[in-house]
Amino acid sequence: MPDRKKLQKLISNLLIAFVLITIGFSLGKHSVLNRMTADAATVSASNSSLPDIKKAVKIFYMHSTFRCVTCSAAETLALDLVDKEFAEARKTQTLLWENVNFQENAALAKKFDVIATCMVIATVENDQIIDFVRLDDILTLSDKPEEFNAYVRNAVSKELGKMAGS
Amino acid sequence: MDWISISSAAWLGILTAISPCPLASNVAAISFIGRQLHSKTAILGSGLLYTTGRTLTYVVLGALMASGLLASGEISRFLQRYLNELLGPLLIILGMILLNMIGGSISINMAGEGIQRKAQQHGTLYAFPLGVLFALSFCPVSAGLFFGGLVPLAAGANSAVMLPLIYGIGTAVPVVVFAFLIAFGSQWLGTAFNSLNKIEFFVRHATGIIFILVGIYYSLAYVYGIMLFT
Repeated sequence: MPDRKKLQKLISNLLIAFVLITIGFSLGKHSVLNRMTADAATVSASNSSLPDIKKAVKIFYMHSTFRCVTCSAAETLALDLVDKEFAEARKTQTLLWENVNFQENAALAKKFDVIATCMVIATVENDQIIDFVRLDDILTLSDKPEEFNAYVRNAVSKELGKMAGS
Repeated sequence: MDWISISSAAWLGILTAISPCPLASNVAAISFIGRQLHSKTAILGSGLLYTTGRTLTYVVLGALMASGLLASGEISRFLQRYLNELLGPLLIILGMILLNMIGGSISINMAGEGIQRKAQQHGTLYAFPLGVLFALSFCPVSAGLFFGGLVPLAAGANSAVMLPLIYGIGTAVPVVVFAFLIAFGSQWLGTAFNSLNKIEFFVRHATGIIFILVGIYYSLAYVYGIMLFT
């Protein structure tokens, strides 16, 4: 039995080491993220500026660090729909797409008042967000593709229409 | 408040429980509730306390948001950001205590009883904080259903307590029913083959191992961003 005790002690020490490293990693990560958030004073419409595009509709796919199965399914559905049904707008860059981790980009999360993984359809002008609508039901509709597509399609069409009319 | 609101709240709760993203914590809860095979009262008590812990958490959150003390977006992002990261290391430590790997000689009261002995003897009571902890650990789907579905529903129906309470019961009932089925099935098997002590020993150890595995999964997914199942 001494071998079994030794093994148990080894596993126990490894688990304690894992717990301590995990806590340290988490604290370090949040310290860096908080510093980055404090540095980002203004909310830009993109991570990289788009000087050539004066006005566009931009879809922000707001996700958390943890990408659940349902979240990935919703993202795939939405991206497929946008690429297929709004191909022309995508080509002319009047419809843009950006994935944003709302747990890392606190400024955008606050601006959009993000609750959980969602899509935000925003009108952007000169890299500034003019107007936006948040689609909170994408996760609950992800197992009903027709309803999901109608939900996203209507919101995108409405924003594109508003932009074209202005 | 009408029957549509009540049934919607219950359905949102059940949806939260059966969606894949809180599956790992539900497995841990099921094993914890169903581990005391020798006593039907202990299993029922654990199930009831787990449900109370979850329900009370949702009621308090709902009431704080309804009174305007907390903004749903802020609290949702805070809990999703920090609680799940805390949960991984905490579950590993709890699993180690259940397996008597640590805590055998640590006293948490004046009487000098070890944590592990207390967990085994009075383990039923620990189901309550476990319910609170798991209720606060929102994953993307449960956060969406609670903050995006239940909270607006409760605000619309002017029900800061009743609808969160029904939602809480809805989140716990599938877990508790499943735990009862497994526990009573194992109990029947143990009695039928005259080996209840052996099965109970196995189930107790399995609970500790499940807690450690779920803790490692949570740490990898939420702290290190390593997705094992996508």
